[in-house]
Amino acid sequence: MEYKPTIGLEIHVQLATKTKIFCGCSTEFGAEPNTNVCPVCLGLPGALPVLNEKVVEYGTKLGLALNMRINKTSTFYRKNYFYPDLPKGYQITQYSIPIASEGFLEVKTSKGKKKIRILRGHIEEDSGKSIHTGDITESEYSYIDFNRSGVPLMEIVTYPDIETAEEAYEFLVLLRKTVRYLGVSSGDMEKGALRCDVNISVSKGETLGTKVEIKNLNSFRSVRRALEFEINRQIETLKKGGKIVQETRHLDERTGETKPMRTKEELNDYRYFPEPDLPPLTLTDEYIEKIKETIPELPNEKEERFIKEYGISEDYAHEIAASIEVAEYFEEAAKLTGKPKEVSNYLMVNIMKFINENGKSIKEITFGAKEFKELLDLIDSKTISKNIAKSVLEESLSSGKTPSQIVEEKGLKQITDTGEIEKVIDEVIKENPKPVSQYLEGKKQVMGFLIGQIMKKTRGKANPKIASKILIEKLNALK
Amino acid sequence: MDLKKYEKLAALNLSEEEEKRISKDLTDIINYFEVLKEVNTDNIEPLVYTKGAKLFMRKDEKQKSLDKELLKKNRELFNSNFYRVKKIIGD
Repeated sequence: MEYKPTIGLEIHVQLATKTKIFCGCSTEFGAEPNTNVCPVCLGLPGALPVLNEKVVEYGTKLGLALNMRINKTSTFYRKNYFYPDLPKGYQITQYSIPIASEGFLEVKTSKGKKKIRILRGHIEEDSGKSIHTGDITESEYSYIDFNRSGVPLMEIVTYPDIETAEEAYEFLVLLRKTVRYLGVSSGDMEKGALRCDVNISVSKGETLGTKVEIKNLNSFRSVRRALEFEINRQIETLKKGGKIVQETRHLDERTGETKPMRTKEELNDYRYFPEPDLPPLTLTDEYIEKIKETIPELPNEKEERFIKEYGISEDYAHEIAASIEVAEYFEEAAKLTGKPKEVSNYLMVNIMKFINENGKSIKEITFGAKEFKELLDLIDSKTISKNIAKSVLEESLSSGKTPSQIVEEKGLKQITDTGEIEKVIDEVIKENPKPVSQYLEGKKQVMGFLIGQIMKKTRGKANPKIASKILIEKLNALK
Repeated sequence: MDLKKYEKLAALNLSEEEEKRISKDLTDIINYFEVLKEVNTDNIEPLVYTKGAKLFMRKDEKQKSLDKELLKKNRELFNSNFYRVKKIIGD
């Protein structure tokens, strides 16, 4: 029997509100240290928390988008522990009844679709940030920036339904797409707007193995690497007759290995109790219904509709629907041109390449649906060939000029005048006696070379169909 | 009851005499819960909030944060734009 991994994720999503969860300080990332602080988020005695209604809105929205039940009454608790970046000595969070319970996301993996259930989603405040200067073991002090203290988070906890590193990775990717579609979080892992802890054990059969926690994974790649390493480490340890120790580990980014973290295990006792400064949060059916109406079509739904409605490939639909901006761009162009397949091709091959190479966003480019129609019409009317169209598109992307402007200025109009093409073909036949005789001996593959020569002479402007028809006629006449 | 554990959790350093007194107090409190346990609580919702007040929420609007000059006045704690504390290593 094979060892089977059991994996659960705990993901902190930073909610994209302007101000903190319990006070009016800004949540701006990268501000000068300790400038966005006040008595509430510094935990000064007597300061009282006042809940930000936007946090409730975003939490409800995310809960609904993850197919969760919104609890009409949820409560706040104090999670008590001592650490310098937690000035009150407790974190205000939710415990027995979170804002959202019991949902799922369906991810696509190389082995097909899989539903991963979500246990709960609760809203809470972030802690401050400790900065250690120089060598962590040598410096005498920790320096703390409280700008992050009180920034709103929604913690999403999955059931241990995940069985591979790929599933965990795909879950995170889909979660990020979802929060971005909703506009409730930037989803930037590098900026800490999405943070992931994983719980993992391996076992044969029904009884679960000893659980190991991996903390502070700060990129999609890290999650995948850490899990791949850890699954292997646990299986190998057990195969050799070893034992898995229940512990917290972290990923060493340089080596890709997970290593035990120094922790105070015995102190893992948070003594939760209800937050006396905040009455329970109650939401009405009307409120929940109103939020539901603001939820846009989500990535998976969009992807499926694109395949059905526009007949584009599954891979392209997946990539296009990954970003709401790209999806909207595609749909507008597909509708206006009536040629979704061509649009998806040019979009994924040429336009995305331009965007990635130039560090732009789809919103910044001037080549929109109108320009798309112009370009495809130029191909349709045989004014330009598909080959020329590619360079026109590239030129339009970088210069901002419209396709017809470029065709006009550069004289790229396709030559459909058979007389002109015949003249060029005669030259090519004359200049290439060897390939011509090879063709006459039956080597049909030299056709490509001869067409190439024609294109070279006409700078790609000869209509390829007409050119090859005339070339064949002329060659056959030589037989 | 392991009082030492709770001392550590609460970051307290109790004298022997204090330990004795608090240990007794806590034991009394815990014993009282044994009495409370006898009350029939079937069909009663857990109580998490006693004041009966409604939750008040604020709009997501910025308010003025504290002036850094004010923070700097705490020279003991505030050092080159950061709060400085004795190093603690943990997770």
